[in-house]
Amino acid sequence: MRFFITLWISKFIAFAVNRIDKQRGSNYSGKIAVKLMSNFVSSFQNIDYNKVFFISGTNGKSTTTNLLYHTLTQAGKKVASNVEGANMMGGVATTLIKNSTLTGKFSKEFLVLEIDERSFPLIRKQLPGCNMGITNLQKDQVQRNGDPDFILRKFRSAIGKDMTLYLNNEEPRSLSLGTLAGSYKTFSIAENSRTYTSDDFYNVTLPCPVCGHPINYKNYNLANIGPFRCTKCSYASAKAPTVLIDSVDYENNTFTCSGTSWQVPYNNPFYIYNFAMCITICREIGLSDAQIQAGFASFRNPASHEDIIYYRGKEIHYLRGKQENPEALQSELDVIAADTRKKAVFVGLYRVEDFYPHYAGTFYFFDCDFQNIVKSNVECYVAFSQNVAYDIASRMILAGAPEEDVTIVNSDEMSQIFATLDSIETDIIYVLTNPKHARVVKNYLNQGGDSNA
Amino acid sequence: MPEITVGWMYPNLLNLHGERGSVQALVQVGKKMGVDVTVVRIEDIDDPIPFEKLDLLIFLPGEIAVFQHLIPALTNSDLSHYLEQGGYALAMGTSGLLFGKTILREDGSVLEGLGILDMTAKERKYVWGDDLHFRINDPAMELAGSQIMMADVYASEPFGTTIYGRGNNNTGTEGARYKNLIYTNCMGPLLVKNPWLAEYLIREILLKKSIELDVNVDHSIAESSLNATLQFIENKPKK
Repeated sequence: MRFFITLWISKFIAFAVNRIDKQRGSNYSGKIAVKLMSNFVSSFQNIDYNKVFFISGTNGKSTTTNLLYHTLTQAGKKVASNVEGANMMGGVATTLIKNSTLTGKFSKEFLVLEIDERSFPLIRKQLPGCNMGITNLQKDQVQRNGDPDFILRKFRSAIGKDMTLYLNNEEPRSLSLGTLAGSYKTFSIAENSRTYTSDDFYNVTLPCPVCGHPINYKNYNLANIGPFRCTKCSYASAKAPTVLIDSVDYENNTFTCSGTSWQVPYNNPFYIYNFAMCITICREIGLSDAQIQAGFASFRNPASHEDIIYYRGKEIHYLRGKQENPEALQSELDVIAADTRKKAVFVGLYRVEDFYPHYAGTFYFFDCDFQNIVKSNVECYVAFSQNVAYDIASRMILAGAPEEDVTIVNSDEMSQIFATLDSIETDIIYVLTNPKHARVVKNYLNQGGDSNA
Repeated sequence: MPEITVGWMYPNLLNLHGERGSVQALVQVGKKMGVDVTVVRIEDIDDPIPFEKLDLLIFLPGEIAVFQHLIPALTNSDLSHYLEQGGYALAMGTSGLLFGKTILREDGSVLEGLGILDMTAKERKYVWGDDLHFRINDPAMELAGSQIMMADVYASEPFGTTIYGRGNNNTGTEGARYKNLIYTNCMGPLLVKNPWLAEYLIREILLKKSIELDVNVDHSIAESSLNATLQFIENKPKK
């Protein structure tokens, strides 16, 4: 009876929130329900756990969840998902509240859930879904997670033999979880035009999750993602992954999979891995390649990381990279480095203000490689954001940026940050901040801009 | 040109929090001082460590999970002898725990450390991340940066006294020291944000070789960084 009362209250809250503002309170009803009844999620009926797909990992889980939900829906499947992004217990509860009858019967066929890595053990206890895709396990939110092993242990504690995992064949930590599950499928990207090797003296990899000796990469598709092999034990990327993406053409947004050409709307390496995981899962569900391709073709990501804004005669490429997440930040830095036109590079990392205590750490920037940007024809650099601008400048200078070319703006004021713009010769400007400051930066540039691309 | 050689210990295994920047900072500060700082990567647990050639060992933060592999290898090496003879070593973040007596892990298991520092550690259930500002007496200087605490630490001979931050265990102590082995929780990277510590280490190592340098080193960007960090600490919202 307690479940029904909680469900009805939370359904009413969800209805009311939806009437007031659809954009806000994406997990409010679920949060209340979980407060009223801690095992609320476990009480729903009619869920086929073989058709529950958790999507987790450090980078790419939101995009992959959206992509999988979109592709399955386009193929005519009835799917519930937390695509709004609330990925902890409250968000899962909200998804179930919105997709169930008044008697708590789940009303869809598939349940696709983006899951916060730390919350996975708790969620799986209440919702024993049998499928999980893990995009990658990398350094992220160290103030909460400390190090990747902290998250790896969370996953190890909750993965069971009743599960099938979908794993990146080129990311050592997440791939190591495969043996804990009943079965696992892998996906890979073959060497392509953006694949690189590193002979940088300061390059570091990671310890083998099996034996603790160093991992070596044959090459990289992304930072710390590429075909790998332990220097000591036999742990390595599988030679024959379940799905292999080949012939990636970044110019024309195409790749080859199982001999046929696929057209996709987005094309950086993170996206290609997301597509690869989605193909692997959708094929397992039984979708045809034509159905999957149709889903990909019409997919639009609500959380794009790049805009081009025209401002005071300059072409401003505005990129966002997450704080405390060197691999995601590196992906954006690679975009800048790939443009060999003469350019100015503005970087603002800001303080970390997710929760108490706020802190002024930017050390994750030192896990990123900046020297490729230095070699890519940069006229000048601007290191900005209050309290941390000097540390950003230090990173640039250590990577070889001439000190005299680095302007330090110890401020969050947009007018001060862009004060030097008119004195910059080139019209190509790259601005990189974290996503949380995107609204302020875009508003400032758009209000004074010529047009918005 | 005076030369010193730094052993960068297990770069791929102790690889966290961008602290490789401290290795780069050592080279950069050396350059400013007119000192040739050569860095030697000690790649793997099985690799021999050429202690006789190394003036400073640097251990960057790493996952506690790899310590079970590192501790036996370091126990069987000449590390203790090197440190007893006054060799210099700098351990940042979790890597300092290697040198203590025990690490009590969250699952209840106990990892025996090298026992060089009179120190024990208890792994935390929740990570604690914050800014860190502390003072040391030998040499007298203030250091600042960040700390990501995976474990609370109890050391009989701390390296410094906190001005702001949790330090070892929120009781005002920070890090530990034994002879020329320094352990600190401070990162940022440590030697990027505090190049005066790098300068001190280089000067001390050269003094041991009877080389005294008469140079003034410009740390103006780091000094501005320190002021900006302290301003943030002063004004940061309380819970």
